[in-house]
Amino acid sequence: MPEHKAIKVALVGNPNTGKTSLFNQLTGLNQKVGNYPGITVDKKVGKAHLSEHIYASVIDLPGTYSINPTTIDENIVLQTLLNTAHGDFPDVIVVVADIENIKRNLLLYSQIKDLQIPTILAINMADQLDKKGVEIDLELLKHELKSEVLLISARKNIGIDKLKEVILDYDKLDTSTLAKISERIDKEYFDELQSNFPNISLYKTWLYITQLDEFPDLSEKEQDLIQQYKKEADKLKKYQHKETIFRYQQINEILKKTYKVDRTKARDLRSRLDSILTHKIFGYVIFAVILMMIFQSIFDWASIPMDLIDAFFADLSTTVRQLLPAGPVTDLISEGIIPGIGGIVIFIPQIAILFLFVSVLEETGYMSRVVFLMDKIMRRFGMSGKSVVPLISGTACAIPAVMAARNISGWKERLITILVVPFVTCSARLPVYAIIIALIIPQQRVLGVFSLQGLTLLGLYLLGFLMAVLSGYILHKTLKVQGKSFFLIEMPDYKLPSLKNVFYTVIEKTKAFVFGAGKIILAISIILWFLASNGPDSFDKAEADFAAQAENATIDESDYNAAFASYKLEHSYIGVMGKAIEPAIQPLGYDWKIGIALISSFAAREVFVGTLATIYSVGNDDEEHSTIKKRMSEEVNETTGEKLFNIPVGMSLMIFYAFAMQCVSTLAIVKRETNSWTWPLVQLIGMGIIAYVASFITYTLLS
Amino acid sequence: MEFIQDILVVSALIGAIVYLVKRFFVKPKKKDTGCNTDCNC
Repeated sequence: MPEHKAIKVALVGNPNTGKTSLFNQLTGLNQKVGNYPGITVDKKVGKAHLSEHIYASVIDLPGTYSINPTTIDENIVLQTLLNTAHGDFPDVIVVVADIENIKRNLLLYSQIKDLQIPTILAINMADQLDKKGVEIDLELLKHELKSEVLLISARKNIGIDKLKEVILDYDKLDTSTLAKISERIDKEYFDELQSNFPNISLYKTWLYITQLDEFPDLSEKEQDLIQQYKKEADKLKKYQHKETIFRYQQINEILKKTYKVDRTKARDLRSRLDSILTHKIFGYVIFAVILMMIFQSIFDWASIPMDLIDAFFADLSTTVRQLLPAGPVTDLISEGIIPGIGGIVIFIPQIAILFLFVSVLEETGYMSRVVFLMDKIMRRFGMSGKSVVPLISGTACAIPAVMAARNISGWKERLITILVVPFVTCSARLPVYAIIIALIIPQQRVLGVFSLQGLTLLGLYLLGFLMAVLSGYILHKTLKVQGKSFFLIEMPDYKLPSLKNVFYTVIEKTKAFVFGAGKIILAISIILWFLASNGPDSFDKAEADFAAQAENATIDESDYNAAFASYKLEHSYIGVMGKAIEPAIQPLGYDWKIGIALISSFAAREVFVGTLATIYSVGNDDEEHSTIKKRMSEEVNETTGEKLFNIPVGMSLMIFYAFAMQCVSTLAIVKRETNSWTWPLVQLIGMGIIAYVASFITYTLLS
Repeated sequence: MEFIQDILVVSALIGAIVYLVKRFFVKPKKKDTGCNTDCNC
């Protein structure tokens, strides 16, 4: 008997909900794939037999997160569902959701239901309810969603026959709206809208105004009216936000009554992994081991390329000096610019390795577990779980981290997070730590496995994090500001990292670090070189004065040249400045040259190494330029005659950099975010005092 | 020759100072983020 009735069915859903599996299950081999007119988006249609005489013409619409389109694919969904004259306009819509991301899926369902087209909610992967520890009160959910809700498994062919039965009886489905948007947003505005378009559903009219530019099924008069409403762009945007917030509030209320997840009962791989990785003991142990591996790799893997880069810049300086005619420009390039830039380029391997690990951890979904894990700690210290996101992003740079604190709704928690984020070890501190650790910590193994240098670096990262948490606790107890927030995070599924994404992240972050800091370092290198190569009156007389002083001394030519270069540097502008602050920094174990680096690195911490490289390069009279590391390791304390960079000085310096607010850009962004100079000043002075006192104690104890 | 080198060095110095002043002390123009009071962005 010929089939004589067709029901048009549209499958709609978020990407990866199993929509296409359901389409295949319904249509079998009766399907064809074409293109939507004018665009290269697949259009899949097929036939499903519902009964002896009735079949369904099923269309698999592109996956979309919401009915408000942001891509061409998503726009197709809107065009199909709004235009009753469209060839694919459905008699019934099946919204496919999956049991794990039901909240997000229900936003789309809620919007589609309000179009007042018969709608069925098919919750896919129902065979995994027990495995994932999910319980759904189906009858109550049907009642709350005012529609037919089915539990199906498209892959295992569970619930498909029942779905076909419901599709057959689609005309019995409740088509009333779910969200009363008019009452919750602006009743007067929406009542007026409804009275102007009495024959169209209110939500559909609203979508015409906010989403579409063409309205084939509207009269000319109606189209003009829509254009009038469209002019209030600011109002529309505000109402759209309100609509989404209201829908989520309603979905939360419904799910609270009908949907429960008990992770302790879950037995699937993801849940098993979660139970280990977020375990209250093993979770932290695993995280600590992963961190140890990262910091060890930073030193182990990066040492060879770093040595090569260091040697390359030393050779470049020598070559430039040999090739170019003698004069101030040659000096500027070989003693100022090249060592300064070399001082930042050398850290590319370490920065790249750090971001390689961070992006792999993010890609696999592990980072979200870390955020969840750390939330438990943060709450004990009076901070929000959401503070963890800025604190973790702070390992890259404090600036985006301060901005990421915008997600914290409570002002007090947000302010505390902004104030403590700069304690977290950012990538700009890495060059400072790396060069000092390489100078003062021997290349030894602990327990035969862990590198002592890597462990020291890990210790510094933990120190920064602990200081942030401790300061957060103190601020929480002392700040008299009101406000609280709650923490909500959606755990993504575990997946293998995409090599392409990891590669792009590493390149992008490393580029941002090198070029962002590189321009500042280049500018500072030029100024430093000028200040180190020129000076007040005594500088011009330096040669004669030094010759007079050294007249009776019996030293060979190379020692004479080195002593003369050092004498000149001491009498240059930069020498005078360094000498001026020397009394203040002497208790910390620093000489005036380190003082110069401290001043210049106030602009950005990573300038420290470039500055020392420039200063030692000017103060070095060798024809053959040596590497930064060699120059620093050879530096001698003028008072004691011992090596300058020993353990007390090195540790004191690293502690200073761990706590001091050495970043003008961060201060500027804190001012912008708090809209006041008070908080950046509190940070600058507070962190400065902590850094000074902690460095003094470190130096005194270790000396 | 030395005079030209001096001019180049001074130009580089001025360029460096101007860059740093612009980078840290000149307020950048505020971009329109398209946010309103309803969102936290």
